[in-house]
Amino acid sequence: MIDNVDSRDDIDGLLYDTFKNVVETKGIKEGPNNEARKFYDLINDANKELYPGCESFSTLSFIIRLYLLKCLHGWRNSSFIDLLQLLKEAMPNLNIPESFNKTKAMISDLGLDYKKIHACPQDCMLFWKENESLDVCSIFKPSRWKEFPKDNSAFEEPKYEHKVSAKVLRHFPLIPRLQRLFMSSNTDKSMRWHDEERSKDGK
Amino acid sequence: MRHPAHDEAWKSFDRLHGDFSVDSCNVRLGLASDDFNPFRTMSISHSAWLVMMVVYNFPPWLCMKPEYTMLSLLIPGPQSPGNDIDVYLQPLIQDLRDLWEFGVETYDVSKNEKFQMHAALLWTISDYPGYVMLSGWSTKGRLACACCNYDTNSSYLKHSHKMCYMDHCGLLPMSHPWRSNKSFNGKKELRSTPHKLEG
Repeated sequence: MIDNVDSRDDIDGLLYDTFKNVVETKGIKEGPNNEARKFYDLINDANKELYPGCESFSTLSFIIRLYLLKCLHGWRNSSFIDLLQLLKEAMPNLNIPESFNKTKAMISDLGLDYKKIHACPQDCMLFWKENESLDVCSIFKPSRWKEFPKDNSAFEEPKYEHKVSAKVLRHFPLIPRLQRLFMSSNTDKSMRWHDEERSKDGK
Repeated sequence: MRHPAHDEAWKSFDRLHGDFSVDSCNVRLGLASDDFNPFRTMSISHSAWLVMMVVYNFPPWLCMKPEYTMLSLLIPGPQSPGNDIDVYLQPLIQDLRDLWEFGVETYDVSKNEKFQMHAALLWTISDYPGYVMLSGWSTKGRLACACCNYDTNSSYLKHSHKMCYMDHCGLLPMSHPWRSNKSFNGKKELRSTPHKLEG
């Protein structure tokens, strides 16, 4: 229970810290590149109230909290969709995305996403860039996919086989995260602290 | 020293790369790596590795806070990748190379303009076993010291079957009186200071 309270406070704090300045300055500033504009657009869109007259939640904060619960408790994607549909059915004027994919796109637009890169189970290579389409590691030849024991039942083999990767590296791209530091006026000034505000008396 | 900017490594980097240090928007990074057990218990041996990036542009009261260190790679277990960690570092190295060589167009909110952001990796942070994986130099056996490299002074203790690392007098300046003092191991220390590795 205490954990839940903590995580709730953290999310609100994170939203406030990250978006405070952006939300306060209304309208899109001139000059940002496409990615920056996408970010500000998202903030403006998600600044909508969850339902008419709602003060405690915006659509974005609600969706982030819901997504956090999904991740913490390991809900299946299908159960998440069902929950969204139920909420929408019970409260038609609720401002939430109707599908799981839209929710995921919203979260990934925030820059909180990561890339999955398949790796050789024996650590020889990544299936990355020009090797992305390979099925077998080119050095020691172990398969890229998990192997399951085949059952010799009378059923026909399914036409499409769902393959599961044996080892997955999670890569959180560095460049968008650094760009974000300059895009938020909260951290922007601190990024130049080492040169502008540091005392340079040689001590 | 209150901030790594007061450090000799930072200053010598500035001297070497003047055009990088001119622009205060350029990012200086540290790379930290360690292993952890995702199941929070030590009864299962499972070693996953994480790589974090630390931004040293921030003031000292921010740069080491968990909110401002960035998780960059999550390398799955069950065994630690060992020396093969290089394979997994490829995507990160690619990012860093792009940032160093070409820079990335970034929008600066306070100046309201675009600029080319460059970044440099200043150093790595790890524990001693992790140092083996990042540097590729073994920290066991005869040549355990990565700084002394091939000049590491070590001797094998025959009866306890252990390596030990003595002869620290060799690190003193040549004129130091302790070098001629025989009370350490009965010998005068005439070997010169090991060559310091660079780069």
